[in-house]
Amino acid sequence: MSSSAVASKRLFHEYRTLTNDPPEGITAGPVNEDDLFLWEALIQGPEGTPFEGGLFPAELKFPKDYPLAPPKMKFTCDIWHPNVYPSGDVCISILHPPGDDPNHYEHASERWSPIQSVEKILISVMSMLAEPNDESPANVDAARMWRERRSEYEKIVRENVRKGLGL
Amino acid sequence: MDSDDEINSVQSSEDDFMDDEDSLGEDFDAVEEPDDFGFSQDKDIKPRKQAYEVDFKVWGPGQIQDQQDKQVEEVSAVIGQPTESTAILLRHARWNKERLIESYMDKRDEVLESSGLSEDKEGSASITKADDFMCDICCEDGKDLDTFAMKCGHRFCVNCYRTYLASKIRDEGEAARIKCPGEGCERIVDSKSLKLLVTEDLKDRYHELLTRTYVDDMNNLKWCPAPDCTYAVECGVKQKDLTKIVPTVTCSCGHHFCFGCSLNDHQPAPCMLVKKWMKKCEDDSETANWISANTKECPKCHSTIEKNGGCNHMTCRKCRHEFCWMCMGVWSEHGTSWYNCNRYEEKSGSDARDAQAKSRQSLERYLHYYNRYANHEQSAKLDKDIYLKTEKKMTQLQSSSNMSWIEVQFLQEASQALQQCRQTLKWTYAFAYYLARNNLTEIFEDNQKDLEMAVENLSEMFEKSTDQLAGLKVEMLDKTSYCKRRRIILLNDTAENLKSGMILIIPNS
Amino acid sequence: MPEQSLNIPQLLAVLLITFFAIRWYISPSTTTHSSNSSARQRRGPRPEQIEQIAQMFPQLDRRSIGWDLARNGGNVGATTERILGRGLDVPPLNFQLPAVSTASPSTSSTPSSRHNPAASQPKHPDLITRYNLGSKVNAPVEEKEDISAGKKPAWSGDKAKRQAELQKRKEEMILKARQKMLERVEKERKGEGS
Repeated sequence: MSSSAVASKRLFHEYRTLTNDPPEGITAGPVNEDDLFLWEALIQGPEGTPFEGGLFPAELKFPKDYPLAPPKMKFTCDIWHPNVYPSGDVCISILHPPGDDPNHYEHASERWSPIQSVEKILISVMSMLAEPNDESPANVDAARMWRERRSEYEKIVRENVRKGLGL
Repeated sequence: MDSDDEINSVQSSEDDFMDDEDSLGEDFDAVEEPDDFGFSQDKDIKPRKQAYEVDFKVWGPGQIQDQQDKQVEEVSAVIGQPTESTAILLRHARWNKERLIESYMDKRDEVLESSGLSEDKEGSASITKADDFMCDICCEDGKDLDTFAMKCGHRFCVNCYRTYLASKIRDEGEAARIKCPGEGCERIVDSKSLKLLVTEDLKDRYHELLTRTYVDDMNNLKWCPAPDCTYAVECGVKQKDLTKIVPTVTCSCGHHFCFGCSLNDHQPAPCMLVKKWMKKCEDDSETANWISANTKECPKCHSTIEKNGGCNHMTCRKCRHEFCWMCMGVWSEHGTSWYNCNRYEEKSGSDARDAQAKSRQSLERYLHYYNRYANHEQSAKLDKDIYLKTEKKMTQLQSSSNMSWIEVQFLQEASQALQQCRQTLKWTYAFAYYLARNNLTEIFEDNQKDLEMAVENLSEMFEKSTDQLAGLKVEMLDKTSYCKRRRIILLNDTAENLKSGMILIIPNS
Repeated sequence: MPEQSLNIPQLLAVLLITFFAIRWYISPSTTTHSSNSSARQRRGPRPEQIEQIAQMFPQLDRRSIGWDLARNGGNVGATTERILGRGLDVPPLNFQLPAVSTASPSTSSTPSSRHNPAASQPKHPDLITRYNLGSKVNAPVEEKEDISAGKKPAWSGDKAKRQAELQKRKEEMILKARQKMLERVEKERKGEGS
């Protein structure tokens, strides 16, 4: 079985699991089933955080050797968060292949392994929204604001949440 | 054995950990000496070790493998485990065999468990077909599917297991400590399982990596950092002694490098200063030189702060001191004037500005040393170019002046001496930057000046035209050996003072 | 504290500029020479000079550089010296950079505005636009019931049905979130009103 066939099979399986038993606040699936390597996910902002009530669309791109290599995840909405690049790319340890951390911020066990899944990624991202990782910020400005001017940070986040819902 | 005696004398103050390494070294020597052709020749030629030199020994790939096998066998005999398991245990214990044997005798099960070898006699790892199984990686199922699991029970199909191991070995260069692919499982894939699963084409790479980890794990062994060099160097200098010793070693491939940090030879500057210096040079290059005069320091804890927003209200990330960017005064004195500073002449501010002037002074001091450092680096490159041209000259010289090839070798010797002395000079400037002033620094600077003058003289002669060079032979030979002597004097002096702690390093420059 | 936002040099500078401005208005047709020089004063520093210094000291605000250059007649050397010496002064609020570089977002008095480009200018369309839900937005109550009724999502054997089901789930999720947010906004507004 070629690696991309393995990937398709596994992705299809994950899609089915996520449909039959979706985790709270997450909807995800391929944009089009003809291409199982591109997904769209909607993630609810975690409660008790400035992201509460928000809905954040993101795009997941899977490599041909998935699940050996992790997918890339990118928010397709405006999101102001220390671990999300201004481009929307998500920087979180579970999306990093092991042995690929030049800064040694992360333990190998937190990083990608073939036994992880889309569901685990999305749940991790959800908890990342609630608790930014200050150590290796992807958006330095957001990180500084989160650290030094929390209320301003939360204001921007709330603003984005409303704008994202067309309000 | 005279080499080991010297190692002992260097490390006479070491703790017991050191002792096992020493005894280890003796073991190797006893066995390896017969095939150790020419690796320790240097010692035979040089009658006496200079103060700046350290003892070392170069090992070839075959010898490294032999050492490794021999140790595995030895330990295997003591603890009564098969060689495969012993190898895993040793790798897990980072090749500290005394410690391994001791802890194995004390708490055998714990040691076995922690290195992924728990004692479970039933069903040793093998490839089997399992009923009602679906591989968590590829989602493949079926009764005919070959599956594999170690004793931890995380079962995957053989294909996925193989691909996983292959990517670890090929792409990530792991070998000795590959973990079970199961989530959160800490079990290390033992060599038996690897033998079963690793495909033929990866076996060589796997063994190469295992050998590499052996050298990586040994504190007294280092790979020669030269590209494609397969030798490793053994040296007894410990990490904690690097503030007092600069252990430059020479590989059999001819590469001089520092055993402490694997960088090119940087005598007389100790590793930590080299690291500091290189970082400083990186940070302070070109425009950064100017910027560093302006990035302000926190008036309280002196960590560097760069302002990249508009607000003058600064809070130091490190010590949380709040101050005004404009006048460097304490923020609380500012009242409610948030974005404008009108407290220009406050006392706290003018003190802080004095500090800024000082920081500019220190920048100038840095540039003084940096320019000289960079100059020697650049000149060494030019000298090398000149030498390459000189090779041609030497051929010409032979034809024009009845000199034999051997007789024109003085040019090559001069070129090598120049390279080496400039390398040393370069680092003397980085070193001097961090030196606190006392009478020893003056001696150091005198030595530095003498060497520098000798080098510039020789360099000048070296650039003369071919017809002049023939007449300069004797003089150049003299100068060459003079340069070398001056270098040795400088290095010896510095090494001795460094070792005795007479040279003081400025703590925070 | 009425004077705290302007210190004496700034005050002088403002007066100076006002003076030049007035003089320029009053005598627009003096000699060629003087109109040239007043034009230079009015124009302030050239953008490339500001750029040059800003590259040397990227952490500095372009407005402050411009302000200093404006005061010393575009002497880059003098400004550099001053930066290395005691640092630049804060320009007065009414100081404007020359036209070319006013496009740069650095305005020192409003730090938050340059920190949150994400908030000020959304790059992405909102979810309602993206999912083309404009028509469904006005029937929120119905949607809500829909969700609680058809709670159990099910895997369909048919590809097209699966696709449609997924699309529907996403739309419902968006509309529900919007509905909730709308209620919250409403509540907040009432809270503020009372």
